[in-house]
Amino acid sequence: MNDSEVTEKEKREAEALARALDGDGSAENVPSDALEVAGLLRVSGEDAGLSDVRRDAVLKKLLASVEPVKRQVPWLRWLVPAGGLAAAVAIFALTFTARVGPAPLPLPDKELIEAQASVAAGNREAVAVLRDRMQQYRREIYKTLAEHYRG
Amino acid sequence: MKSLACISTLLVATLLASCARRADTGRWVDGIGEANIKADRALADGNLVAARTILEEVADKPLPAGLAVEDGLLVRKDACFRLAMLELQAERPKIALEWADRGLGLDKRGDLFTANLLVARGSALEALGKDDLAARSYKRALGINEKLLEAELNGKGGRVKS
Repeated sequence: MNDSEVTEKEKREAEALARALDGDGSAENVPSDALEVAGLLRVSGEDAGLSDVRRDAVLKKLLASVEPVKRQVPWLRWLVPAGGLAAAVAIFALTFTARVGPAPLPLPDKELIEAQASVAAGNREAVAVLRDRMQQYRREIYKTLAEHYRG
Repeated sequence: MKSLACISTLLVATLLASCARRADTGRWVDGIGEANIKADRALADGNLVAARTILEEVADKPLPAGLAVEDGLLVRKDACFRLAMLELQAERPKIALEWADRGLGLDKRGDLFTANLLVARGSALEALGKDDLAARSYKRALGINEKLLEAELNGKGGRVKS
């Protein structure tokens, strides 16, 4: 069968479509998509315009559904940078003025305290013991301080 | 956008500076610890002059900004005590007394270092023939010492307040 030849079915559909375009609602054998197109073409004329009342109602509804446009406040755009700058200055000031707390130093041991008491009580021989004990304690202290300040 | 980038840079710079400051204090503490060990070696070798030079530097060294006041005072009071004991060893009790007084003038805390300074002061006064004043210093030292012993027996760590 040649593609250019019109079949009986196509002919019937074309006639039905013509009737539908003329406003004949009882037209049969019209393809549904063609019928929708016919309907659209029929209402697209000047008569299809909205009435004033309907237009106002649609416009009102449209306006209500649209987000109101926010007005730009000139100083607002500087708020974020200014806030950030203030935070940076505060951190800077705190860093350079705040001191770390004192190190939790070890308690002197009993031998050191006793050697100190002995020297204070007039025992000259205890001076060497005090010196040795202090030397050990001092090393513990500097170790603690170093750990504390290196973090 | 540009301002945000500037602020971010400033914040990062601040954090880096903070780390550098902490590292400076750590290095300062290390330096003082090493200086004390060098002084120990010089004293062990009988080199009082070298030990004096090292300890005088420790006593006069400016304190870093990141160091807690309490820790700075401890370092200085201990250096003063060591110098007082060194001068007593060198038979210079008058200078020993000056170092002890300088250390005691730093604060009024009743800690181990203050008690040490009072012991050194007592020894210097005794060497100068001022036995009454020496006895008073020893008595004050023993008062602090008693509290330290009490704290040690009770197992309380940290600094002992007067």
